[in-house]
Parts: sequence; structure tokens; C-alpha cells
Amino acid sequence: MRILLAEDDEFLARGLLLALEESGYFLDHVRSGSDADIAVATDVYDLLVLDLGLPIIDGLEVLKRLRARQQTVPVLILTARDGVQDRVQGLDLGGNDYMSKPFDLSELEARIRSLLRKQYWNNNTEIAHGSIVFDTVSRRVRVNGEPLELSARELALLEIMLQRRGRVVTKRQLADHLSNWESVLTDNAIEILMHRLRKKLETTGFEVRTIRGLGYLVDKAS
Amino acid sequence: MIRLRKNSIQGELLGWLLIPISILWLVTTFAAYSFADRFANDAYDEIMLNSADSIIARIKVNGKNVVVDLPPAARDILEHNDMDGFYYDVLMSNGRQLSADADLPLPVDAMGLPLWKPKFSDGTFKGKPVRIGVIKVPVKGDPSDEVVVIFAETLNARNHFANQITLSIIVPQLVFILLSVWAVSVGISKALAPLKDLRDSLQNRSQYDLTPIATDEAPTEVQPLVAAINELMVKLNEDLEAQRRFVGNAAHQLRTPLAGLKTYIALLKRKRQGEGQELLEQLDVGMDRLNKLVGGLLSLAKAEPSANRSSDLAIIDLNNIARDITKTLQSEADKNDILLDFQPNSEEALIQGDIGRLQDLISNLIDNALVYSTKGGHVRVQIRMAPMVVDLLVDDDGPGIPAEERERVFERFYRVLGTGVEGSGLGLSIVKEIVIMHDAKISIDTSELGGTRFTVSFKRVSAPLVKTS
Repeated sequence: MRILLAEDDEFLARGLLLALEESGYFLDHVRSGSDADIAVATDVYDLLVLDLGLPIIDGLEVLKRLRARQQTVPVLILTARDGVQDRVQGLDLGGNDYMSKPFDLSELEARIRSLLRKQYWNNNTEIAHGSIVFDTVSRRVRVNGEPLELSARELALLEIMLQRRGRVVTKRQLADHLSNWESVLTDNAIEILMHRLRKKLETTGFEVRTIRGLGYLVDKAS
Repeated sequence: MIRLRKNSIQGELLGWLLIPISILWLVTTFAAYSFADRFANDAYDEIMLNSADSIIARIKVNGKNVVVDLPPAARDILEHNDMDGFYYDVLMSNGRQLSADADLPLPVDAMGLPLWKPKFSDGTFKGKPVRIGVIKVPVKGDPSDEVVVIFAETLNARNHFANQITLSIIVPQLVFILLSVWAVSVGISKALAPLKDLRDSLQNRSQYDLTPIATDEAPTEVQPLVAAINELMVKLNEDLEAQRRFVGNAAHQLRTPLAGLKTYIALLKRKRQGEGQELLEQLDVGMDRLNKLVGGLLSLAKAEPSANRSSDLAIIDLNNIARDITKTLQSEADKNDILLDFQPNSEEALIQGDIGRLQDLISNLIDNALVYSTKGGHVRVQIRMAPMVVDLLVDDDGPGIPAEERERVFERFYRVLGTGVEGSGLGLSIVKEIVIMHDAKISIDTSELGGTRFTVSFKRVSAPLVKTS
């Protein structure tokens, strides 16, 4: 899952980047409203964490432009202001959730998970596919009840493939969701990653088909 | 510090009026007396001269001698009033005394006087002040010879007359002066009434009411003063506003680094399972306190005067707000095994207020009660109604607040001594601000539960009013 963090305070932003990357998200960080606007317009994100008090253009304006472009990416608003008016305005402009600073890290993470769950899993906390169960809260995979060790990237790849069951996922799409600006996955790297994931899931009956020239496909569970 | 002269305007005006009037009165009194004295002398001199004429008529030449033939009976006629004695002497021009009625002193130039021209002067006779007249006349029947008649009378009648005249002038004047003092006093206090009104209106203001005073009703002279006060109000208001904004901004600015710190503490906690966890917990406690303090500052900045103008007042049922807040704080109470119960009123407890601020007020009061209650304690929230008021009561069974400290607990950063309780020290001052903003009253008593009872009395709004929310 790729998240854009728009926060101008370097100190807070670094902490959030550390925490969220540790949770297995791929993060990009912008420090101004205008950068945030450009980033969401050009790159693909699964979530936007948006501070309202951004320089150049403020968060509300970023939100307004984002929704004007019909982009449906979920937005979690962060703000130092706790007035009802601010909250209402933020939500009415298309924000999906709202957190007042200072917030609890675990609560922020829970809300991020909740937003992503709503976006991709129809609010289900556990996704079952064949013998595989993907727990969206702990971000663990169990096979027949037994935990399966996967690297962060492998897990992320599995997550995307599960999200798009029944649809072909291109390498470009995978790269979009599994990269950030600092480390972009090449087609080659994606192939290697896919190879490793398949290997780990060999015995589970979970199959990722290669659609030549297009990408990969996981069939809908029968 | 500007020094204002302490003179009263009323005294000043009266002084400026009374001193010249009194001087004028003294001058007119003196003038009146001297005029009256002259008139009295002129009038009585004339009468005295008549008596002298009667004497002159009795001067005859008897053979070779000039005599004054004045029988005793006729002499009484000369005394024309009962109050005064009349005396006379008749002298020949050579100095011989023709009649020795009195032995009056001879005026110095009496012998040199022209004929029939009387002359009057003041003098003393037998130790009494007298008016002395002298006239030189030719002897009837012997035109070559002349006699000098000296006559005198005491001053009782003429003094009496002069006094009468004087009094008839100065008494009405005195009455007039007293009347004008009264009229001016009344006039001045009427004229100064707007100043009194101004004082009253300033005195009755809440310290947070910095709206300008209406100038249209003030008299022209007071307008500049009112304008100056209003100008000061505007400046004060701007100042307060700036201060409020500063506190608000500062608090907002503090929140981002606080969020950062909290994030790092959480990260560190995850990384260091076991060792140092306790220290990290303490760091978290500190962060939460800091956060509460920042929240308190913000809340205070919002509750302060100018903030209430932008706030929207609505008619609300205090039961509902108190119920909601009690519910949200239930988990907080449970943590310390404190029984937090709410006793609503069966009637609608309608008051006019700002919901957000009232929530702040109630949660701060309950927070305070929870903080001062011991484990297993009891905090009770009640709504009570009277015909004109709605009371919010928050009771606890904590240590209570000594009577002498009760006023001070509303001061910012004040903590009841010896309790060692952790809090922002702002909660109750926020409560107080919100109470003032709602024109309500707050009091502290000893609770039935043994601890403290806070009572906030709101003005009750009668039900038929249209509910806005």
C-alpha cells in the first residue's frame, strides 16, 4: 500500500514515516500543499495523510482539487485545529477521517487500516482465499491456521493481488503500489518478487497466473 | 498613574458662584447702610431744623435785651419723638448765652456761618453720640444783631430708620442668594446626572464586556469623555484579542511537535520491549499532561471575552449535555473505580448557551472531581431546577476545599495545597470563564458526599421559546 504523507513539520513527518514504513506501507513525503497536489495528481496512492496547515496551498484546497479531479483516494486529515467547524469543513470537502494533533500513533495506524479496509476489503478485517487467510489488522497471513512468514514486500504484493482478485494486474500497477520515490521497482524486480511469493505459497493452492504481455491474475475463489 | 484632582465638580461650581455672590452681598450691604444712613440724616436733620425754627421764632427783643421766650410747655413740642432727647443753646454773636438749656459744644466755625444756612455734624453730648445742628439768624426787630442757635438730638430714631432701610434691602438679597444656591445645587446635580449614569453603567459591566458605551444620550460636555473611554475599550479589546490569538496560535503550534514526540515515544516503545518501558510510560504521562495543558490553554483562549461574540448561542437542555459528558467520562471514572452517576431532572432544563463551551464546562468540572476523588470514590452530577434558575451540581467525596481557598481555585495554575494532584491547573479557570460568558454563577460548598460541591446556576429559559437546536 502506498501512502502520501503531506506534512510540513519535519520532526513529526519523520516519525510518521518511520512508523508507517515499519508497518509495511510505502511512503512518499511532501512538505507543501502544492507538492501534495502535484503528487496525488501524477502518482497512484492508496491513501493520503493530509495536514491542513500546509504552506503555499493549504490542506483543504488540496482536498478540494483532489476531489474536483474525481480522485477517490481515501484522505485522512491531520490538524492542529480541533474546532468543530474545521472538522466539518474537512469532512465535507471529501476527507474520510480526521485526527487532531497530538494523536496516538496506534490510533492513527488503526484509522489508516480502517480506511484502507473500507477502500479495498469492503470493511472485512479478514480476507480468506482458499486456504489462505489475510488478517488486515495484524497484517499476517495464515495458511490452514498456521502463520506464514512473508517479507514486507511479499506481503504487500499478496495484498494487492488479493485486492484485485479476478482482474489482471499489470506490472506497472504493481510498481505503483509497491514503490516510493526512493525505490522504484523495476519489471525485473517485480518478477523476482512474484517468483518468491509463488514459491512460499506453493503448497497452499494459491495460484497467481501470468497473463503474457499483460500482467498477473488471481482467480476469484471458487 | 494619572493624577486626577479630587475636587468635586459640584463644589467647584458652587464655590465659583458663591464666593462672588457673597462678596457682592457684603459690598451691597455696606453701600445700603451708608445710603440709608444718609437718607436718615437728611430726613431727621430737616425735622430737627423745624424744631430749631420754632426756637428761632421765640427769639425777641425785649427792650434792649434779646431774649428767648420759650415756656416749658412749648419745649416739649420741640422733642418730636419719644426715643430721642432734644437739646439746644442760643448764643449771641458776641458769645453771650441767651438760653442755657444744655451747654452744647459750639461747632468751630459756627460764628462765621452765613445767615439761614444750617450746618449739621456728628458729635457727642453727655457721653452719647448726637447730631448737632447750628444756624445763624438775624434777631427779629434788631436786624443788626445776630444770634446762633445750636441744637442737637440723640441718634436712636435715625439709627432705627437707617437700619430699617438697610434690612429691607439686604434681607431679600440674602433670601435671593440662598435660593440661588439651592437652585444651582439642584441644577448641578441634574447636569451631572449623566456622569453618574456613566459611572453606574461602567460599574455594572462585566469585565469582559468591552462593547462601546452609547454616546448619543450623553450631553455634549460628556461626549468626549465617553468617546475616550470607548477608544480605550477598543484598544483593550484589540489587546485582549491579540493575546487570545497568541495563546490560541501558540497552543496550536505546540500540538504538532507534541504529536511528533508522541509518535517517537510510541516507536521507541515498540522497539524496546521490556527494558526501559516504565520510563517510556512516564514520558507518555508527561506528554499527556502537556497535551492537556495545551488543550486547556486553547479552551481558555476560546472562552475568553471576544470569543463569545462569535459563538452561537442556542437554547439547550442541560440534561442532555450533562448526560453526554458523563457518559464519555465514564471510562475515565472506571479506571479509578470511581462511581460516576448522573441524576437528570425530569423537566427540560432549558438554558441559553454555547453547546461546545458548556461541554467544556461540565467535563472540566467532572474531570476535577474525578482527579480529587480517591480510588473507589463517588462523583455525582445533578441537574436541579428552580422557577428562575437551572443548577448544575457536581459533588465528590474527595478531601474538599478549605473555605479560605475556595475563591482561589479559579485562578489559573492554582492547585489545592497538599493534594499532590496532577492536573493542568487550568480546568477551573476555564470553568469560571465559561460561567462568566454565560452570565451564570458558580459557588463552592461542602458536599453531602463529604467532599466538594460545585454549583453552577444558569438563568432558566422558559419552554415556549423556539428551540434553535
